[in-house]
Amino acid sequence: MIRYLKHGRSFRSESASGGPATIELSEHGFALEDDGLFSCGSLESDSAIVEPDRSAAVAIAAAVSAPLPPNVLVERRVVVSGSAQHAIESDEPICQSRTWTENFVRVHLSLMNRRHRLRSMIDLGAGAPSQIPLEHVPRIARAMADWNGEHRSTPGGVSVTLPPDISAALLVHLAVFPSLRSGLGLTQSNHNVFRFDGYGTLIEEHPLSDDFPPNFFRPSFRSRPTRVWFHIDTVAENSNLGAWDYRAEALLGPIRSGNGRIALGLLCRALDEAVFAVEIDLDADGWLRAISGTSSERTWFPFAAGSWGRTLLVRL
Amino acid sequence: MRSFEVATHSFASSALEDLWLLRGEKATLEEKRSDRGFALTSLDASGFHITGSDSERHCPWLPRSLASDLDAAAEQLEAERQRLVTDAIECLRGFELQEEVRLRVRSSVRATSSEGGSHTAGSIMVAVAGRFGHGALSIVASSRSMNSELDLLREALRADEPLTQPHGDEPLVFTNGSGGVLLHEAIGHASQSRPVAADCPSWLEVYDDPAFPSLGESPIDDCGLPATTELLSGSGSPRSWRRESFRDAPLRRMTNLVVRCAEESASLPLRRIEILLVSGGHYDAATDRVSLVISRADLVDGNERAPLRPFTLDEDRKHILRALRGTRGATAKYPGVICFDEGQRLPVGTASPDLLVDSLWR
Repeated sequence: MIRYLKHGRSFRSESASGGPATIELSEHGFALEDDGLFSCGSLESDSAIVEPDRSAAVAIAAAVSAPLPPNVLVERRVVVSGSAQHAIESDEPICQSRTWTENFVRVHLSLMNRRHRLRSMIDLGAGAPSQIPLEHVPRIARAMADWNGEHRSTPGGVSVTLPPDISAALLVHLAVFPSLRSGLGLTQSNHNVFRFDGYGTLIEEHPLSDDFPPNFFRPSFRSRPTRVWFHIDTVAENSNLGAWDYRAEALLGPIRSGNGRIALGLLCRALDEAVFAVEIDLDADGWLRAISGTSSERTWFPFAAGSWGRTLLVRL
Repeated sequence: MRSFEVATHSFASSALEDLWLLRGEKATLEEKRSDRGFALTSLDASGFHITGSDSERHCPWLPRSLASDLDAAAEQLEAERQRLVTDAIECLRGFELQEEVRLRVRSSVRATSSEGGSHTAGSIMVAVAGRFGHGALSIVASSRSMNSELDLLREALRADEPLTQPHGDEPLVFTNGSGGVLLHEAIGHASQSRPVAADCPSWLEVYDDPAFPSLGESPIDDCGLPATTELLSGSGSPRSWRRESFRDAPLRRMTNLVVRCAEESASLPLRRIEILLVSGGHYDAATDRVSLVISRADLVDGNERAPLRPFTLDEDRKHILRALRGTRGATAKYPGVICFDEGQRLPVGTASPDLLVDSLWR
């Protein structure tokens, strides 16, 4: 039997169709796995958890909303700051009893240019407010404002850089293809705050392989843990990726994968500053050939169970 | 536009959910969830402010009666929920299942308490999902409509004939209330972000009707205010505040989408696609497009009827509304919709007469 206990407090600042809202929660839950049955529920508890950083969440909410250029508006914004105490009590070999604490900050932002029927979403995450990579938001908003509706067909023979927020989202999809796991050197990495998996097992570096991932993801006490790769990363090469023709600025809509292909809708900026929409739609071999450089700097994003974004150079 | 009619109030939610896996004759309880919590909500010029917890000890502001009202209502529903689990498993066993089917039975209770009084509402939802030879199917039903929804599932699963690919030039007839799902997306959600009256044909009336006896039925909304009927195909938009749980901020969302038509106006074309079940839908406010996944439909040609492969309609909203041709028959309740938007999953009732639509493929 495995028993998981969670005590958490969070502060959320939201803006959606119902207007702005602040939500402060204290949650106390358990999950039990016993002979194949997963059960979970709420606990009465006196546990005192450290108060969430309200002012930091409010400051981040203001920072991502305030400096938006004309024609770009926030369709939905969620900023959450919180902390959680986790405990595992286990008599099964898959995990050991352990307690640990995590602080976290998450940002979800949906930006829209309604004039051109354009939407871009971004998710950011970190263990502390000061580590949230807010610098990506103005870049995305500026590109959305500068777009005049131009679409270009998939360019051939050009180089495109993908910034970390886009490459981190892409990596989660690339990791599905066995040939890309080894071809791109994809690996499970670690994170200095989000160190443990859903069973309290330390997340360690591990090359992505065809074997089952060694760790389990438990996004909430209400979810049964499942095996996934954590903190996916690719091989770092150098900080100077060389010449590029287009710079991807914003991801348009969710990444689509299916039938052996992965497709990205992008807003790109050319060397002459022109902004245009383009789709890159490649099969696994195509992505393996196209990705030709990775930056040494990396930034963590909360896609799936975490992925590290690096600037990627893609030669089409 | 902000509304300040919402007074400070307490809200409580409770939910119990079982997930069963059925393989052949064997039914296994895989997951069992309970969720119960409380929120104090106020509204001022800067928006909603909510303090909540799933532990009563962290809610010193909690009116004593709210927790007991919530628990009494939940207990009352529990016997019914257990009966539905048994009935649904028995029904599904009758299909001689070849593959795994997932059965989810969820009861939920919401309670509000404010100066104006207190109110409790509960519902039970049954969802069946799995492959039945024709592809994935799912239904969502209230306890009241469970038997008729299971009949519908039997109807949808009746045939073992080979599936035909839809050609694309036949008119569509949304039967069994499924036209309400199309208009849930094309009028209901669209009305939340833009005026839609000018796009709607004059013969069509689409309401958000919280009093309609269906999945979302509730005379009081989740902020303790009387729920009001709105004509969405006119200048209205959903007015009821709804929230999935104590963790969520209230949003103005649909409760029951009901399609009415003053007079029957459509005759059936000899060759047509009759749509029975829709497994998913989406309206994108940015692109003003609607997509609908049709999981069960027949190609009808005179007296011939052939089941079609599941297909997706993805079309400009205005084009869909221009293609509406009329209605036939009485208003029928569709099993229901789990409406997922802005991070909250809410049951929404749906009812419509048969809805005739010109071909949507271009």
